[in-house]
Amino acid sequence: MSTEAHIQEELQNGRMIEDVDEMSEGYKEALKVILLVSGDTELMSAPAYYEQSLNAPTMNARASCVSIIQDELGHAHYCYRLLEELGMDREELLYGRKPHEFRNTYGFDQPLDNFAELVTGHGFWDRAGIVLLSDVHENTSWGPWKRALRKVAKEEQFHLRHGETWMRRLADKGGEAREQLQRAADWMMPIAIVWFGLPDDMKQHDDQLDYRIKGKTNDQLRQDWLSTAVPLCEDIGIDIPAHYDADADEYVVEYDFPVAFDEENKEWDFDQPISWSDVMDRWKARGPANERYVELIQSGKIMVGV
Amino acid sequence: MSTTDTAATADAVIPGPADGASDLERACWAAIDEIEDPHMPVSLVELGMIYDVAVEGGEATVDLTFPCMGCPAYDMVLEDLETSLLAFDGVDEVTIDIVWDPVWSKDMLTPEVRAKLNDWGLAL
Repeated sequence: MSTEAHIQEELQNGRMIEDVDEMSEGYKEALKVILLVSGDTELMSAPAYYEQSLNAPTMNARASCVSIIQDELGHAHYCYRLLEELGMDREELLYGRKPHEFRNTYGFDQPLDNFAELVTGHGFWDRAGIVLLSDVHENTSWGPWKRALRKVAKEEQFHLRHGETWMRRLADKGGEAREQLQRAADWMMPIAIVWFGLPDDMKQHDDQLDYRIKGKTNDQLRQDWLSTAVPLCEDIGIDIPAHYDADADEYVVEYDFPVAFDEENKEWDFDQPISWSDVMDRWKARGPANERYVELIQSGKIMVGV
Repeated sequence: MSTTDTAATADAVIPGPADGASDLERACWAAIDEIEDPHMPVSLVELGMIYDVAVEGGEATVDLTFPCMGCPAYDMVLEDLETSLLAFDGVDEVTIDIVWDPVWSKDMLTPEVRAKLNDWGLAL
């Protein structure tokens, strides 16, 4: 049995890793991939959420929004600090990379144009973050990350509650507020669906699972997201193309994902399926607000030069 | 046991009903002690945010403070308090007085609560 296969077997049997010296190369590389996506996603949510936080309709809502941004920067800090343990340079990660080198989820490359989109971001995308990170928190074999996620989990719950509360308020308000919320859900829901990645039957093997860096498969995580997002939308009367299928005992997405996205108009073409390789290309090419958001993060450093 | 721990125990205000509190007021305190702060895994009572709870003629009045001005969870805390107290048969109305005297201080936390927060990742 190879070293990698041996360590994978031990990890599956519950072995925990505390120190970098205990890691195999394969384990370390798999950790770097997921931590970089996680850290970049936390980091880039901050500029994405920033502008519309200043359009919050009350002072209390604005305080909540700004506090969320602060939390997200803190969560990014945890990830980069952990990546430093793995031999990467935090300063370089933050300030040395070009915009297209960031590995955040595609949602945080999109401009958010009104408060309804901001709170739908909290209600849909922070929910996706919670689903992914709760799994890591519960199942991961790397002790330092598991412990760091205790604080993250509670804070993300606060973001989600804020998002749900305001989605409900906008829905109850009716009129233009409700229409904006529906339009936000229309383009933001499919981003969350793709967030969880390739369907299980298309995935040959998964390093993250083999090394027990996470515990649930992509489809299981997608189901977790749907199992709370669909009831919320049904409750507040917002339509999304997904429902619970009692016979199959699972949530079903009502279109053949992934599909083509018109970034400029924020519209999905549900009749135009694309391949997962197209999704990867789209993600690597980055979205319309990528450069602006990275500049928001990096510009202070460049101007002050400390 | 360090002297710091001993000092914290002596200074900490142990929050809870006064000696003359009614059964309903005691029950209200207990209910509020079940409300977790939206941002931290301890209750509003444990955080020292509740200064007084009085119930008179169906009206519950809570003296509430915040550890900081501009609390990001302001609305959530008020909503949770109202929902919690309105669940009692003897409470038809909830009035929340936000008070800043005495000013909240981390000295109001018991060593147990500090230990909980520390364990969670917040050093106070």
